[in-house]
Amino acid sequence: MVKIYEVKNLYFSYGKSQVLKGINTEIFKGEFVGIVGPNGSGKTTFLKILSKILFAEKGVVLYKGENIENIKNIEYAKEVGYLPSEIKFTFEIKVIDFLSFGFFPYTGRFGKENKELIEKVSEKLNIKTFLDKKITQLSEGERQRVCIGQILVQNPEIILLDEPTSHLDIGYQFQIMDILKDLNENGLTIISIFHDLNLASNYCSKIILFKNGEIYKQGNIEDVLTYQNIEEVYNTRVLVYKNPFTKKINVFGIPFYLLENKELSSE
Amino acid sequence: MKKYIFLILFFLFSIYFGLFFGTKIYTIREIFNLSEIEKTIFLKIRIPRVLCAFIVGGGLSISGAVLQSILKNPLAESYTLGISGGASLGVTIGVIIGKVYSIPLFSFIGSLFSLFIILSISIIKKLSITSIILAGISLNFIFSSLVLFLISISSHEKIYSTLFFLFGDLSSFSEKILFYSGILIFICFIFLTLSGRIYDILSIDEEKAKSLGVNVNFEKNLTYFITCLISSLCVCLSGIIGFVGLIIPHIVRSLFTSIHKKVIPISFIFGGSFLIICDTISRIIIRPVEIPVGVITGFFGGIFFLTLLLKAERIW
Repeated sequence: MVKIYEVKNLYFSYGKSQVLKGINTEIFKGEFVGIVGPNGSGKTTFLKILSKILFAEKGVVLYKGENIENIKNIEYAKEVGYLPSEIKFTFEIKVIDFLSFGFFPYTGRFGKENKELIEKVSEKLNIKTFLDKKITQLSEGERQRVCIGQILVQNPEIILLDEPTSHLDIGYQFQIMDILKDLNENGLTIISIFHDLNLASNYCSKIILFKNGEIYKQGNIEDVLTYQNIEEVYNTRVLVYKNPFTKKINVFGIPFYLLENKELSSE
Repeated sequence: MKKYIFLILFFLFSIYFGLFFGTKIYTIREIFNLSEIEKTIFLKIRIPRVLCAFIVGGGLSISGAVLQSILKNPLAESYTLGISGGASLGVTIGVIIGKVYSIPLFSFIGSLFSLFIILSISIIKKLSITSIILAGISLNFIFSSLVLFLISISSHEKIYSTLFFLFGDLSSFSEKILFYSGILIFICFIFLTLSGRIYDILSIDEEKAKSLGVNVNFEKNLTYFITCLISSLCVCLSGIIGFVGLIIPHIVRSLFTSIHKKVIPISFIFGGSFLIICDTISRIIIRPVEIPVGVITGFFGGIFFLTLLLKAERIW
């Protein structure tokens, strides 16, 4: 397997607050990696370092064997696309114009754009009907499809996503995740942060579980999403079982008040 | 298409209005039968003045458009960021020192100095974009006070003409400065238009821009440098004219598009035409007395902007 990322002893802090404390991991081509963990555990910071928005304080991130900091941003953008958890639009722009931002790594300031790719991407993501609409007029689900479309116009090998389904209802969540799964099956490596452990379990091939700026556990789903790990990291009680229909691990949180009243046990 | 026809008609009307209306109003027939003195006034005063108004209006508008993009704030422009204030202080010092050619240099240094203060404060205190604007407006007041102070203590014979600079005035620019400023502002205009896609990307999200390969810090610093250059040249020509850089990009985005390769050229034409009309009104409203054009832009611009704010559901 081709190694895409190798992270060695990575540290990062915002001022006095140490956010990442010695991260070590490897990510291979074609993996669908889910990054999970409580709020403030360092997931987003880690993803931002992988996307070259932030830089390591200590340690190193190797991308295809080369120190990520030595790669030019514009060259890196041809291979890696990044979707932040929220994009704020200052001005009302059309969907087609937003999609064309993906050409920037290839055109730079003055180059010419290849509009044919927009056609292909918009057909693939079923967003062709609203290409001329303003992006602020779209629903959250439509907007998220457009944001993924913008990354596909960038034509990357790897996509980094920060909670791509956080604002979406259950229908749109599966729609977006199915699109990502399809892209992954067609060769794209996907690394995404999730708050919903079940989504991560249903779609990912590998999970990295963060706790307090460290990787608590990483590996395949069965090894990482155990009730012991989840209870320890999230400080809550959960029920973990294999869904007989999907054959995937499902995690159910148990509210504390029910636990006290009915003396439920996580086992 | 209709909008673009409107733009062309607005531009042509402004040229007609600016050339034919003033202390003396001409008809098209009269233009061909001017006396020698009138011909000289028309060629040496009225045409350069219309040209100057167009360049200043266009320059301020494109500065506002790109500053709003990089700061992601519709209230950003060279006036609200204190850049114009710094430039006006530079001009005043330049006038006191003497040489005509030194004035643009002092103006540019003044604008850079002002920007340096604003950016330093914003970095050290980690100010929000809105706080940066408030700091810029405060800085403008400080610079205006310093200009008034220098005028008060100076015995230089030209210094009283700089008093008008505080209100914006197109009656006393130097033709030499107009020529070189026009060329420089036009080059900046072409460069900014060709860089339109960078401003589109910067206007959404800095992290997204970085992930697309945009060198965000370099582009922002380059934009600050160019807008300081444009604003300082505009201040040399006309003093501080507020509102144009704020209101014109806003109207253009509302009426036309938000894509900067179009916003910048349309703002240039629209802003230039707007200032020609405002300047002409300032010349004819209480003839033969001229009032500073900044009074007109501030008055009509303010009313127009308030109307838009009250009517619009969204800023853009």
